[in-house]
Amino acid sequence: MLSLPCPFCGQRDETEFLNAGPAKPARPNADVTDSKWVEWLTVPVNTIGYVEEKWWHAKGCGKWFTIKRHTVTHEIKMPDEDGR
Amino acid sequence: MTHNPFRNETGGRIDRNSPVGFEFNGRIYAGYDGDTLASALLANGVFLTARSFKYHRPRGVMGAGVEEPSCLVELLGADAGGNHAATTVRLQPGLRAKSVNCWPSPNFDLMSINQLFARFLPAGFYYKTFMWPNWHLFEPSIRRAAGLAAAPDDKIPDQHFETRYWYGDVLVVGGGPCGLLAALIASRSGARVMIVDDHPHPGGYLRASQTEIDGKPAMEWVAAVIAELDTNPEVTRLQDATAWGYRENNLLMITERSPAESHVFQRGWKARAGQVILATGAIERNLVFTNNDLPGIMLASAVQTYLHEFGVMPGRRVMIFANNSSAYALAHDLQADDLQAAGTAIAGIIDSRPADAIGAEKDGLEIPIYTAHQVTAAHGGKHLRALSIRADDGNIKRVDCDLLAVSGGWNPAVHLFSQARGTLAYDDELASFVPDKAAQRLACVGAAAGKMNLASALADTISTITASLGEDGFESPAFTMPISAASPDYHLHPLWHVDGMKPGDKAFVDIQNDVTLDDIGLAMREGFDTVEHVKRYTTAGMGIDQGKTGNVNVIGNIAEASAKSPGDIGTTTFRSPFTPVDFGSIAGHRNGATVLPFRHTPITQWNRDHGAVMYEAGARWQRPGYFPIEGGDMQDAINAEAEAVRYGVGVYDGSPLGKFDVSGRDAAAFIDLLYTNDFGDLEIGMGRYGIMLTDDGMILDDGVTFKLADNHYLMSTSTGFADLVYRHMDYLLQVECPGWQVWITPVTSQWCNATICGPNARDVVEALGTSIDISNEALPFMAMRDGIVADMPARICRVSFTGEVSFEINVWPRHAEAMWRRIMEIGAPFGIVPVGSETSHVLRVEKGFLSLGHEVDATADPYDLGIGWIMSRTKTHAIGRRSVDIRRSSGKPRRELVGLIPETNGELVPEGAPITPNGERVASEGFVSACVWSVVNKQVIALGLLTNGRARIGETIIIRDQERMIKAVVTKPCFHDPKGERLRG
Repeated sequence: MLSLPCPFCGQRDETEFLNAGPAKPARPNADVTDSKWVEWLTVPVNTIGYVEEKWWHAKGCGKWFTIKRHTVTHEIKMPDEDGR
Repeated sequence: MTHNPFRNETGGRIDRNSPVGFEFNGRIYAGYDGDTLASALLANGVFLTARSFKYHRPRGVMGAGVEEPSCLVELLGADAGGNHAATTVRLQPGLRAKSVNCWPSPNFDLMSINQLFARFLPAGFYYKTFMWPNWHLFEPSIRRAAGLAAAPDDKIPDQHFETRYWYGDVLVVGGGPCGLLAALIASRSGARVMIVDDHPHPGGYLRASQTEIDGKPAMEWVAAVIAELDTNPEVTRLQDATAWGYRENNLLMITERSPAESHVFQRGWKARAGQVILATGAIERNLVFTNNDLPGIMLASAVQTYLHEFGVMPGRRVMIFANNSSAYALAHDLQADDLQAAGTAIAGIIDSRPADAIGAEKDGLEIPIYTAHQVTAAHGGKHLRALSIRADDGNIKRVDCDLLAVSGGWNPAVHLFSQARGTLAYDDELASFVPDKAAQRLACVGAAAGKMNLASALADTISTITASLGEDGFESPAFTMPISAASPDYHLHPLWHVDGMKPGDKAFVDIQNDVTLDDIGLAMREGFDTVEHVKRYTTAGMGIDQGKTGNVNVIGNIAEASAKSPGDIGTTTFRSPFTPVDFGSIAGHRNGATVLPFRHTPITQWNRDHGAVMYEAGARWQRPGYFPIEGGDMQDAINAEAEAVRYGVGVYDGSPLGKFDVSGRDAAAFIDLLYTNDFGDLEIGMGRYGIMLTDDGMILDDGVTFKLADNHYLMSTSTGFADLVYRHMDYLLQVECPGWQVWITPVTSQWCNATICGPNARDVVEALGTSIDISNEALPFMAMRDGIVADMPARICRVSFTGEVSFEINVWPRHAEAMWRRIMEIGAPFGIVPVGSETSHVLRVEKGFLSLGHEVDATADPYDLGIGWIMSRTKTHAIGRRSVDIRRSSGKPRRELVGLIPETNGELVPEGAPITPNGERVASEGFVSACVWSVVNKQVIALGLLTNGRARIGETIIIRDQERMIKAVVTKPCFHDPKGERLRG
């Protein structure tokens, strides 16, 4: 059970949240090629190390937010913690 | 007087004034308060306590704590639970236990015939033998023969499980000297501390040793530390509690087995700490020689524990077999005058190390020390009687004894460290694995860190905890190191197994899983030569044991056979739980409806009063399935309800339908984004059916949305998908459209509705009395109006999921039951009947209306379902639109919605049954999504998805119901009023 930093409520147990998978880059414009669209849709970053994920504080304040989670150690950072 | 033939006159920490009666395998025994089941059995001279997992060999108690590999018991009666190590079961009055793996008793075990077939049960036996025709044929009988304890049948009377959470700064696992010291320093620094110890009483190995701290017996130091910890309100101390799981972000799963509150059977803790100190100690390992599993062979540390903790001497003539210095402490203890006087004879030490490797540990011993000797075999039927020992010149001699204390060295208990994803390193001096790089905020101290000498382990603990407290901003006050008497240095020569076995000899590397040295060899010869493969092929280190006593021996033997270092072989993954855990302690109070509460409408009580068969109809909503009728079965009841709707009038409770109030400046634009079809020209007071897609072009939901005012909508969703739709909308608004002004209010439970449907529905609504003009001109199909119905504020919507004229009477929940009763009362002269969800299903299948989860699965798009018109050509921006277009551009054949008329004699075809080309056993070309008895067609009808289905109307296809072939004619997916004149009437 992860401990997640809700930007609104603070540190909370994972059971209060729903995971919504990898955070995607912004939705591409309508004029991208079909293959770019499919890539945006279906190719998540899957690495050993930090991945960006979307979480929803469903049983709390309802905030959607993005975290960076280390896939081995489960260390969690906010995306802006390393200069992004 | 309790008759305990193997109990010493004095000694031990048991209370000799409090005898405790218990039952084991149907016989009555007595022990004392403070005993474990294992120590009480040994005191009573019950040495044969179990049969082994695979071969049903006689087994006894080997350990004294969680490491116990062989004596597993099932607890009966009020303590019911399976697979407990007898060494961890506290003796309590009335305790009832029985051995696992033997029937009817360990002394006379019918399954022991497996031993005669032992050579047919090698590693990988099951994988090799039961492949044909199918594993499932053999599985039940194999499970029965090989299984461990059965799960208890009954609930625990008068007690319950409980869950607690704890959050703090420092969590210390282990109540031995280093754990206590770490907790003490942490508590003095002002931190919030929890210390968890799996023994009933604190002290760890100090309890079983003669060590001194600060010039006094070590247990006096322990008592002083405990006294201080217990007065600190920021310290939580759990005894008889095992931290069995190390989860993400420093969360530990703990089961407290004997909480102070008598009504709590066990308490599961979820404890999260800023930092974790693992002082989990070390576990002694076994030595591998022929018949090393015979009752009477125990770990040396266990013998010390039985002696000092329980006052039990489980043998009269004792030998020690060791490859290291630690077992000598036992020899010193056994030389004590009172033991000798009571008739215990220590016959000698067999040490595999050469004479010049043995140091100060032997000083003061007056017994034979057989240096550079090895035990080649243990002899005895159901108990140890003698040993064959071999000198380094190869001469073998026989020595009589009834207790052999073995020590193969110590393995740091790295289980939790490894569960926390830390890496391990092989330490040549310890010949074992020690913690290397931690992956979470934790530190190991003491023997768990490979520090085997007490004085240096304590010093190391102080510096470790002081530094890590400092990192978290806690300042620990100056601390004076407790002075412990110098103990001889730990020294070991690895001995992975004793050579010279004869064919058929069994030497166990993993006692619990019955894995022999031969099995390891066989696995490697057959090419399964990495540690992960050996584990799976032989089952070594699996199950309850999780490699506590055997794992390093397995690794050592693989290394030896492949001429590598154990460090190059590596370990398998240590998994949780560290010890067996009752599911109840994980679940706590959460079972049944307390996990996910049921949802009820205000009509539930009326439904129950009228005999409805209630069950879940999506998203935990309890709905009436059908209302049984006298003298008829379920199908008769459904037919009667369906006929009422088709030819008279019926009413159903539509309250669970998902409903959302969508408003705000950008509400119209948002509806436009969500739905594939156009809502721009929708008039106020009218509704429209829409389909919502996900980004990948799958159908997320369908439903009718009404326009209440400009930029104000009432959206309805399927019952089961309301939560998902809410999530979808909330995501879009927060993440993708953050500037938009749209407010979503779930109003599912704020509007209850009774849907009156059937040719006579309008008459019933008229009779109820309403301020709303319900003529077809004033309130056409898909219209809604607010007003008064039966003297109650109400909103009438004309939506139909039945194909008949329908009036949804929406009211506030507090009026719902009153409205329902009025409808039943006023409707009675019209023959109104309540309709359950089974009948709703029949009615919608007759009409070919879609149902999510039936026709709408994660493959079908709107074109496949015959509603391509809903994909507006101008709305390329609608979510999912592009993905549908891309998928369809491939031109591959699609499965399309069709009606089916199966040729059965009134029998229904199971939903989900595949349709295959010509009924052959090949890949399917579709499936039956729904099948009902149609009251209007007087025959069985079905809906299905069929490859290129719309072009195949009139064709006969074949449905396979397992081995049965059912012919069916393909039709249009509508069996009643295809033009929709009735529902618009």
